[in-house]
Amino acid sequence: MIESINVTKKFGDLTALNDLSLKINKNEIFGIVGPNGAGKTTFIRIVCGILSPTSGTVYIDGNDIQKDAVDLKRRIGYLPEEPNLYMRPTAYELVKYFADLYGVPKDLFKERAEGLFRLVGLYDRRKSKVESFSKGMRQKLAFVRALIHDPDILIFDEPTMGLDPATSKNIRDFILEYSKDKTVVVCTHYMEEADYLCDKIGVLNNGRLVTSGTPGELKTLIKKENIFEIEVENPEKVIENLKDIKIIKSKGNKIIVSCTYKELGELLESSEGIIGIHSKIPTLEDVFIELTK
Amino acid sequence: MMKKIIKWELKRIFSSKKFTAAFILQFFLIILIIPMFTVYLETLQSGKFFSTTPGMNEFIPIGMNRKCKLSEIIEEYDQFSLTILEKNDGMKMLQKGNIVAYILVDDDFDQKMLKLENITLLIYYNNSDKSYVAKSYLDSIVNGFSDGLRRARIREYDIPSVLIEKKDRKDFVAETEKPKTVEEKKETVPKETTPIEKEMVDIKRLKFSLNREYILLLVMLLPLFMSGGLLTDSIVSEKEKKTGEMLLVLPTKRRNIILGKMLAIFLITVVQIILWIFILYGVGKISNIYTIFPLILAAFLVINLSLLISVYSQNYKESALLVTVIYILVFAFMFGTSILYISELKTLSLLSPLSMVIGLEEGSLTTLDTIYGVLPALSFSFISLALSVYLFSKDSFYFGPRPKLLDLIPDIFSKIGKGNFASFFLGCLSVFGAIILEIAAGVLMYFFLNLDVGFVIFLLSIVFIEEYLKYLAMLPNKSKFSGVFVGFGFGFFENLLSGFVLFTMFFPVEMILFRIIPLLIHMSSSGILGYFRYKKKTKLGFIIAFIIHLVYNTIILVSI
Repeated sequence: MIESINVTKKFGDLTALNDLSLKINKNEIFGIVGPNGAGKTTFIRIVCGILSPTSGTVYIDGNDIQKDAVDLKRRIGYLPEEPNLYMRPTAYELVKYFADLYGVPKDLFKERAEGLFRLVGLYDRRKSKVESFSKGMRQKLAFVRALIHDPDILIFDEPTMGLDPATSKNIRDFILEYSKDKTVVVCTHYMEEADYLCDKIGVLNNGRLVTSGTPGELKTLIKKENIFEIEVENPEKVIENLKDIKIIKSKGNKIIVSCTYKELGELLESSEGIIGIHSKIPTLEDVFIELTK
Repeated sequence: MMKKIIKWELKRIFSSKKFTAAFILQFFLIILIIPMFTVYLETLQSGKFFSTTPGMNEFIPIGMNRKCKLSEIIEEYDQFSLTILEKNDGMKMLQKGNIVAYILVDDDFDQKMLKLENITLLIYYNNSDKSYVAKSYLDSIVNGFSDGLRRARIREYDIPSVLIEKKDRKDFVAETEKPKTVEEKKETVPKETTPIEKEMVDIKRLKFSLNREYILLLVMLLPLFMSGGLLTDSIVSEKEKKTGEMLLVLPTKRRNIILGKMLAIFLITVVQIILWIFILYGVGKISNIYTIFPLILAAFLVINLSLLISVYSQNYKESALLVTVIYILVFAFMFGTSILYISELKTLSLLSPLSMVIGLEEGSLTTLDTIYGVLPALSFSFISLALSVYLFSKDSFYFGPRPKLLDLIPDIFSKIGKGNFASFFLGCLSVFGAIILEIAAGVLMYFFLNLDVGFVIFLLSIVFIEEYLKYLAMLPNKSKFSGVFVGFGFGFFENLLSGFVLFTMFFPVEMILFRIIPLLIHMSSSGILGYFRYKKKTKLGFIIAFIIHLVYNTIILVSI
């Protein structure tokens, strides 16, 4: 279990994390979502022992990451936002170097490296230089590097950032496949990714934890009210009549609102030019937008 | 873990085409420089070029009619080769150009000197270029000799030097004449070589040979330039390309990462130095194989300074600029100081490890010299290393924003402690900083300003440097007495160092009395600054401390 207790991190005058407390259970895939600058990467860097908190503590199975960093880091596999790979060696040499640094025995390394290279689809290119790899291939190689020492805690920072949809799906499936019986922390911008992968999600904003729960629980936060998509001829006129009705999104001649049936009835009476109304199931993106406004 | 990092770094460097190219280039450069310097020095020796520093090429041969206290002093000067010659022989040799100056002293020279009677000294010079240099050195010896007599008088009567100085100007009279009776006429010089002349030629050759080897060894510093570049590349590139983040997540202490990188580069440099020295030794250009050790020491210092720059720098551009500036200063210091080895300032020259190279080649390096030579370089290396490790352990040096240098100093100092004893210790340490900065300020004033203006600015800068360093030293301690303890530490340690130098000049009791006033001045000025800092009026405190210190220094200098 990973437990963050009142963690604050300051960079000069900037407070990146502000008194953040949350729990990540064992064998759980925990998603951290939030807008840019919310403190997601800072948080996972602290969990990995890369950064030290200004105050507060992160415990992994009851051990302080700052005090027992060397032992705990052996259990962590970290994939940063950018693959950050050395370009000159071959994929195999690079993975071998990190396996050596993590003390992976030679016989185990060969077997594990081959398995991982096959799993990510880089087996045939393992002897090619890293500089010849595409962005997607580098990301896959970064996975192999992060997993070569068989860690039981996996921390992924934006694992599909900048990848095409097919490669992204490939990576997501790989995470699901590989993370059985492991504790996984995924930091992402993509709500559908968090929805697809995570057992639980924490929403960060301005360095604080806004809320956390399962994707279903988070969706109910805004499902207490009904979500409607209203198609209109003149959106500006309709928006004027919305009064207390909450606008979730407005694009073109479509307005997504959250309101009761009574409020919707009043809106229909007072507004002209409404072409159609559809009931809408909230997505995690709606929750995200609502919570991080 | 560190071994694995070293191994990886070595592999990475050796697989780099840039390194291979630089290594080969360096090899050819060294091979080319050897004959080039040989030709250059032979040309200098043949006299085809006018040399402004003849003393640097060979000994200055001079003669004297008898052994006395003055001849003993002259013999201590490494620039001269002194030969005792009868007056007639001396004049002939001077005419032939075998010696450039001939000193004639009375038979009762020593007795007169001890009785503090007036002494007449005749020095004859020929018309050679070297005679100007000989005159300059001999003048300084004669003046120094006079000072020595004054010191003897001070001891005898136990009165302060300030009072006696004006009275004693006439107790020694030196007549230095240029050229008095001798004209240089090369066509009249006989061709036969006497045994004395042969001995002089041998001495001249020895000096030439020492200088040739010294310059060759300086060439060996080339690997140091490359090592600095490699280390900067290894550390700064990890920051810029962010590959370093993957090293920070490794199950090891942060210090092991940079120590691994540093040791890998150090290893390469050591191998390079050994390789080059063995080649030079093999072809007979170097006479002492142990010259490897001072070069390795210099390499260790340069690499640790490069490490500190690399850890501090945010990007290549900044590191390149800092490396260039620091290398110029360090190499100028190392070269410049080592040249003092062949002058009378031998002990001071040992601040540079390169002086040991000359000492080894001359065969004059003593155990004490070695200790003096090793300690400063090793101390600065380890200070740089410790600072690098400390900075690398801070998140801000990798992920930013990097703190300002002046904000870092109290942070680093507070690691030593925040109490009064720590303030005392930091006060002691500040003396080192003051010495370095004051030497630097002195050199800058000397080169860029005229004597009067330069001296005034130098005086002001000394006071500013010392007061500011003491201010920095008191920052971790919040008590109102912090300044008193810092001033005590500074004054105490300054006295300790001054005492070391002055020991041979004064009796210990006088030394204690002589140094007690500056100790009190340091304690008062810093004490006031510390108190005003406590009262949140630091600027006012600094101005008062500055004025007190300045007034004291001015009084002392005017008195002298």
